[in-house]
Amino acid sequence: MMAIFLRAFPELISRRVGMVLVGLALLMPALHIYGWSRSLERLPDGSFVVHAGPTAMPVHDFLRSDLSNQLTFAHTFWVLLAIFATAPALTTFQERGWAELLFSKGLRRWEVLLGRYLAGLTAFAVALFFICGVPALYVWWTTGITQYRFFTGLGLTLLSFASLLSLMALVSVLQVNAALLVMVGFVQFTFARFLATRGELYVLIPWDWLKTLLDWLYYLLPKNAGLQRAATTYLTTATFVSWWLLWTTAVFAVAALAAACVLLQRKNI
Amino acid sequence: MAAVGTNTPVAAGAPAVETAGLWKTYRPGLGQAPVRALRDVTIRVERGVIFGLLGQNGAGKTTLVKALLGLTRPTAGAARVLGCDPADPVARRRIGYLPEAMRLPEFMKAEPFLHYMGALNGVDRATRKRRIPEVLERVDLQAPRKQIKEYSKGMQQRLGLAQALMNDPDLLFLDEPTEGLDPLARKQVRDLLLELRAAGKTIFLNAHVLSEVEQVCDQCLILKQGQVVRSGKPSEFTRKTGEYILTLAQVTDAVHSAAQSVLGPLRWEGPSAHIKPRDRAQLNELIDRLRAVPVEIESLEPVKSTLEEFFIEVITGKEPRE
Repeated sequence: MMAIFLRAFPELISRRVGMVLVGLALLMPALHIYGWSRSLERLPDGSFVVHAGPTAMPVHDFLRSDLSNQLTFAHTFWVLLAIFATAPALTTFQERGWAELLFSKGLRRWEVLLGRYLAGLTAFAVALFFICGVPALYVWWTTGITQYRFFTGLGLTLLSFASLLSLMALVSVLQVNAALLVMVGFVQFTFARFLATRGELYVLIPWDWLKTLLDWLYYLLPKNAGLQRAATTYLTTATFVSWWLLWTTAVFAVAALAAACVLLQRKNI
Repeated sequence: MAAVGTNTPVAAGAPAVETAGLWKTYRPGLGQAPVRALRDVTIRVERGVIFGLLGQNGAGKTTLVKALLGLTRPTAGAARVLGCDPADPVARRRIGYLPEAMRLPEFMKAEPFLHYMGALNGVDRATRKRRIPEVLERVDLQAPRKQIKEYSKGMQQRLGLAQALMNDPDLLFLDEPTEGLDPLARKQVRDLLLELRAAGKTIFLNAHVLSEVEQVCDQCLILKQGQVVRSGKPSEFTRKTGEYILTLAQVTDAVHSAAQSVLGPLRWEGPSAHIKPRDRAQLNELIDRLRAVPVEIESLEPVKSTLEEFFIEVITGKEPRE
């Protein structure tokens, strides 16, 4: 499995979208750190202020809103970009000519899928660390303000992406088509937002069966929107909205990936 | 030869390939009739032979190979390779495979690709480093520092062969190994197959070029609509037709009348004629008459049917002439 992982990783980042992700992962932290270094000022009493616009504001206040925005951005733009970048990793090895070659080797098919899944997840984790984590570490290092909550928020973003990747892996076994995987990722991402706010729509829905159906879909599917909200709330208030969001999404990620492995193992190539 | 980098317990002494009543039925989709790709296929391939699998397109050859590699699950029946279940990855570490419609990772170069393929078969790094130049030389692949996307079709085919040899397999499945190769390279591949056989390897060859099968295979099998219709040695299929090509130093009126007195009127094409004597005695009588003319006999060659002719007769349903 390690051989699969080590080969899938460079394959991922050598694709165009992968290169964009790598490029942004290098550019974004550089710009961010540059901005911080220009706007941060150490006062004689040892505290820090940030010059954002015409006024200076205490660094704690600025960080809360800036890092919260970063988490929201990471959970939308970066996740959607990563869906584009990682979808081919789940399909190319199952395409005709390549699948026969790979699956005739001395390893189990689920090892191949899992190796490539982990490569996709690692690519996103590394990109996320560079884009968001490195600037946060810079702030931590220069101001001494710890960023544990921000990194926990990044962890929740990673879990959210892992659940999407698991769903894409499951679909890839049923239909080998990278474009379809991208669509499935996007639809789930959007649908999760809809399901998270379904209560507001219930006044418009006259059928109880549809409400029950939507409730069950919400229980079963990953709670991507909920996790995003939980991450920003935890960053700003230090309270965790609901553990239920976390473990149900984790269970979905594991179950979908396990189902993908079993189906691939049984598939006729 | 010892296993390379692997210490796999494959059943010693077991046939290389063995199937018993193998069936494979595909169900294309709702409302579509099931497709029977394999029907009761029973074969046994001993170790150290080159086995040719023949059949028209869609006869079930690729399905059979896939079933033997654990790529597809048979609907009924059993298959064993090297005495093990083909679905067992440990058994597959002793197998090399060159698929027909192979797709290689274009962004890679030959050496990392071969490292990758070897690693997937559990070959350790040190052995891979030693083995890569060996297999590249064996398949005569030049310029391995290029990216695979820059390779010609023939080079890609050679690389496909090289990856199949990376784990020094006991059993090789080769699907059209000479596809896309020039005549010289085809000869090199045939020589390689013979070398591998001499080293005790078993080769399961799926080929359309029947002259090649005829040249290298010890055994062959013809599949028709998923069923085994003929199996045996290629020499058993390339029978004598009872005809000969007679070539003389010169053809004179005396020669004409001598030959006609034994076999009736013959159609001469220059100094040669196709003859079909009734039996050996008549053939000898003809030779005696010609020598008495006198005329020198340059050659007398028996005409044999080719494997291709036999294959066409079997596939079209015409029974071969006895």
